[in-house]
Formats: sequence, C-alpha cells, structure tokens
Amino acid sequence: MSGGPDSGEAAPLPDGGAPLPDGDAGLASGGFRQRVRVVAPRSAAPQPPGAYTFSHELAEQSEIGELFVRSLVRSQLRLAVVVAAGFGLILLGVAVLIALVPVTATLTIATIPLPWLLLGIGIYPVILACAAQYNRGAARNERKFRDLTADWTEPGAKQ
Amino acid sequence: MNTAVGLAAVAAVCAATVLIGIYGLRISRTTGDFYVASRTVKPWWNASAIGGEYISAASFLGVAGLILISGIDALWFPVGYTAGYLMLLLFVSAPLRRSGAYTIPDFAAARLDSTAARRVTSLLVVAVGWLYIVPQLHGAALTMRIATGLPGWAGALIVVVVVVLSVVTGGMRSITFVQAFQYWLKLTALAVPVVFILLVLTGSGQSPTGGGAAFDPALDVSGDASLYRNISLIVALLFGTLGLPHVLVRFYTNPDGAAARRTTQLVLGLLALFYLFPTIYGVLGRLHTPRLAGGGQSDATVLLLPGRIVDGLAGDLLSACVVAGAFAAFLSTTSGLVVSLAGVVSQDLFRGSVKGFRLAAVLSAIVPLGIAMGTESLGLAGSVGAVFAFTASTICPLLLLGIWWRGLTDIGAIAGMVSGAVLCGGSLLAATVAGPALGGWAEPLGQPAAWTVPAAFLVTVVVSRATPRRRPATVARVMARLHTPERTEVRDPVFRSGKSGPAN
Repeated sequence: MSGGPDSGEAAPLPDGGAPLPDGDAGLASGGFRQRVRVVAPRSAAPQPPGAYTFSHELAEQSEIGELFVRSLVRSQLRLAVVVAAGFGLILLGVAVLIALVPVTATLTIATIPLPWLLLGIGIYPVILACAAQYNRGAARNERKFRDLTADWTEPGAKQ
Repeated sequence: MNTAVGLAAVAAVCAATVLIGIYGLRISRTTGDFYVASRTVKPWWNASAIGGEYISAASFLGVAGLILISGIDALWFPVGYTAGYLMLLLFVSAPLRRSGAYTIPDFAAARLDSTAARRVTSLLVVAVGWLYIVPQLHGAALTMRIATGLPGWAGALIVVVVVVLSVVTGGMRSITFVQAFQYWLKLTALAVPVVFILLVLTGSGQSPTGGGAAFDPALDVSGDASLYRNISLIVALLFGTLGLPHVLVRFYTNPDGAAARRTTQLVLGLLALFYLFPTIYGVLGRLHTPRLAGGGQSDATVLLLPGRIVDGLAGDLLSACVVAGAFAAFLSTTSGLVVSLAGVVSQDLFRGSVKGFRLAAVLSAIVPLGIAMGTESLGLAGSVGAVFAFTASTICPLLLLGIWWRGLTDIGAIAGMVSGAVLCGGSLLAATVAGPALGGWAEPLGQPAAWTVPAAFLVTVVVSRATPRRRPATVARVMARLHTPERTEVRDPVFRSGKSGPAN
C-alpha cells in the first residue's frame, strides 16, 4: 500500500458541484484550454449541477437543520425497518408453513405443488410490492423534509 | 453437444462483448468515465446493467443444478438473491449514492474519517471480489468442457482475457453497455430454449412436469435441509448482497438518490423475471437429466437439457443459445467485479490514475484465475452462497451502521469487520477442510451467516460504544449528505435561464 492519502481525503465529503475540481477551475480562470491532469477524486462524486438545495446547506450548518435531518433519518429508517420486517415475516411464514404443515405439499395447481408455487413464483410479486411501497414512502418522507426546510429557508433565499 | 456450434456460440458472445467495449471507448475519456460512467447512465440501462452484472454463474447454471440435487430447498437461493436487492433498496441504495463515494473503501474513509478503516475495507473488498470471481471461472471451465470438449482451463482463460480487454479499453462506461446487453442476452438465452422445449413436450403429448413427478422429493440426492440451514442461507443472501463490491459500484452511476431507488425497483422486476427460467430448467432437469445429480455434474443441467429434449440441428442451436448465455453470465459478473476491484486497488496502490486502473484491472483478474485453475468447483450456487455469508459478516455491518447510526467509530467498524471475517472465514474453512468429520458442528460452520452476522454487528456496536471519542467530527455533515434529498427543481433564477435555453 504505497499510495498514501492525497489531499482529497482532507475534506471527506466535498461539496457537490464541479465533477473534476482541478480541471474546471483551470478552464474557468484561464479562459483558454490548458492541459489538465485528470486524477480520480478520492470521494468527490460529480453531482448534477445545483444538486444541493438551500435546505441541504441549512441541514449541514445549523442546529435546527440538524434536528430536521435527524427526524428525516429516523422516519426513513422506521419505514425501511417496517417494510423489511413485514417481508421477513412473510418469508418466515412461508418457510414455517412448508416445513411444519406437510399438507401444503399435497395441494397442487396444474400438477405443481403449492410450496413450489409459493417459493418459485408467489414470493416475487410480494418482493416487488414491498419495493414499490417503500419507494413511495421514502419519496413522501423526503417531500415532507423539503417542505419543512423550505419554510425555514424561504426568507433567506429571497435576499 | 456439437463442438463447432458450441465454439461458435462462445466466440460470438466474446466478440460482441469486445465490440461493445470498443464502442464504449469512444465516449469514455476522463477518469470519471472510467470509474463510474460519470453518473449519466439512464435508469433502464442501469437497471439492465445491474441485472446483467448480478446474474452470475451461480444464477444461470447453479440454481437449476441445485434444484436437481435438493429440490424445493434450492428455491431459497433465487428468492434470497432477489430479496437481497430489496434489502439493498431499503437500507443502502439512496444514501450510498448520495455519499458521493466511488467504492466501499471510499465510503468508509468518508464516513469514518479514517485511513485505517479504509485500508481494512479495501482488503476485504478485494478478498470478496477474488472469491466471487473464482466460481465464475469454474463455471466457464465447466461450460467449455461440455460445450466444446476443450479442456476447462481454456474457458476460464477466455473469460479473463475478454474481461481484461474490455475493462482496460473502456472502463465502466462501456461496461455499462456490455452489462445491459448481457442481461437481455442471458434472459433470451434461457427463455427461447425453454419455450421450444415446452412446445416440443406438450406437442408430443407429455406433461412438462411429468404429471407432477418432477416435484417428487424422492428425486432429491441430498437430504432435506434443516430450518436452520434455510434461515442461515437467507440471512447470508439478504445481507450479503448489500456488501458485494460490484453491486455497490453500480449505484454510483445513478444521477441522484431517488433515481438509485427507482433503478433498484426496476432491477427487482428484472431479477424476478429472470429467476423464473432457471427454476423451470431445474424442474425439467429432474425429469430429463436426473443422472447429472449423482455425478457431481448437476451444474451442467441448463447446458445439456435442450439437447436432451430437442433433437438434431434445432437441439444444437438451442444448446448454443444456452452456452452463449452462460458465457455472458461469466463475462458480465467477472467484468463487474474486475471493474470494482480495479477501482479499489488502483486508488490504494496507484493513486487513482487511468494507467493505474488498467494495471489494477489486470491484477484483479489474474489472481482469481490462478486460484480457479488450482481448485475444483464444489457446486456453483453453494460456493457463491459462501461468499455472500462472508460479505454479510464483514462489509454489511459497516454499511448499515455507517449509514444509519451516528455512533459508529472507525475502531468499532474495524473490530466488527475483522471479527466477522475471522469467524465466518474460519468456519467456512473448517467446514471445507474437515467436512462431515465435524458432526453436529458441520451445519453451523458450513452455513455460518445466522450467527456470524449478528456477532459482527454486536462487536461493531459494542466497540463503537466503548470508543465514543473516536466518533468523527464530520458525522453530522455526513449524515445530512447521506439522507437529505438532492434538489429536484431548480430555484435559482439565473441557473434556470441558463438551463432551459432559447425557449425561455
């Protein structure tokens, strides 16, 4: 491991913005194309232009912002855990049903026994439904967060 | 199987992969392109690419082979592979995308503000990647032997050469196209022969399931799996998917967190669709190729089935179809792993230059080639399952706790990863070496996830609690970055006029 941490690591999460900070700075200030050395930023993800809102800045900088973020994280985690637990229960139910209720093996549809149908086909729509449910919930949580922070940042934005 | 047809199928898939790789080269120019396609990949492409990368030898060949051996218990594998993606969606996808990191070690470094945590994560990621490539190469060896009669190592070598070529020339951008292409190739390669087979069977008046005989547990070669084994397997697959390096790197190619979630949902649909087919092959195999189960050749079920049921040229063509699909599976998973490993290795060893990435890609592919040549396959689904257990016990606690728990410290994360690696790696090794001699211990050691994953979480939490002063000062900022949504509508008027152009 000869490659030590480079300067990029000093700021673990750089601001969203320029995909390749060195390169863009060179182009903007010089006004002419100069040779740019392209190296991978350690963890500088190129973000879509203007990816972060005022609410995002607020969240990072102020105490009230931190409170908002904590509540967002809590609600997202609660949602994820609820969906995961629901799915886990269904999965466990299927496992227990197959293992402990032998009569399920004798029920067939088009010669296919019920346990095969449940595990081979039936469980997949359940997975998809869980995913759709979660996506809706997660987007709703984020919308709430945005509305909440917009109330706080609106006056600042009008300066 | 007809040798010429088999060779042609392998050659065609390899040529297509290399060609798409070269096409990708023309639009791949910067380091950002090389690593993660500059994050401009559309959800549909991305979802197909994720599906293409994820469906490995274990899914394409292993699932059907396992159904042949152990009947209904084998169905837990595809369920677990798919549900693992659900866990990924719930707990990881959007925050990880927002973290802005390129690789898991990048995430560890950013979240924990620690070079040591980064190093340990890098080592584990490389270990996981190598272990995961080996079964792919075993699958390639098996396919080569069966399809062409050539020695198995030729298949493994071809996969490594094609992957290194396409990765070195195109990086991730072209890999995205290659992977997306390969998902659909794999799906078609299984679906078309199965439709033919079902038509032939019903046309000749046979019931495809033998009137239900295919589901008879008496056909199983292995004994019934215990409830413990099934639960442990599901734990491994559910939580192992979170930590697979090639799966994670794909999420960075989404434009934002919400897109990452949408992509994952699409992936779930694609996986659910795909796994229908290996299951059908397995069921048909129980009737038509039952002898493969006893001879340790069960993973060849998918490859041999079309030729068994459909005669003559049509049978050869259908066989060529599945051979091509199988090679697509080895190529896509291996190249995904090589890209992500090369990303990690080149950052740590070569300071992230493009040249370093290329060198790292070669390194990442050659080591597992050596391992694969020196070892024998022990059943593809099983060996991939073991890798999932290892990932679930090491990288998964780091990711889950790092994303959702402010209390995580670098010491805690390292302690958890190391103890998970020692416990899980140790038991898998013991189970492989000692085998049945372990008696009652054989099952908990051979399928360890049910206890090693909670143990790794426990160690991480306890040690983090004991070292509260190691909490990084940046944690509040990082949590805000991980969880707050990106801007969806542009509010800045100057920016808006710049964006929408002449229409305004």
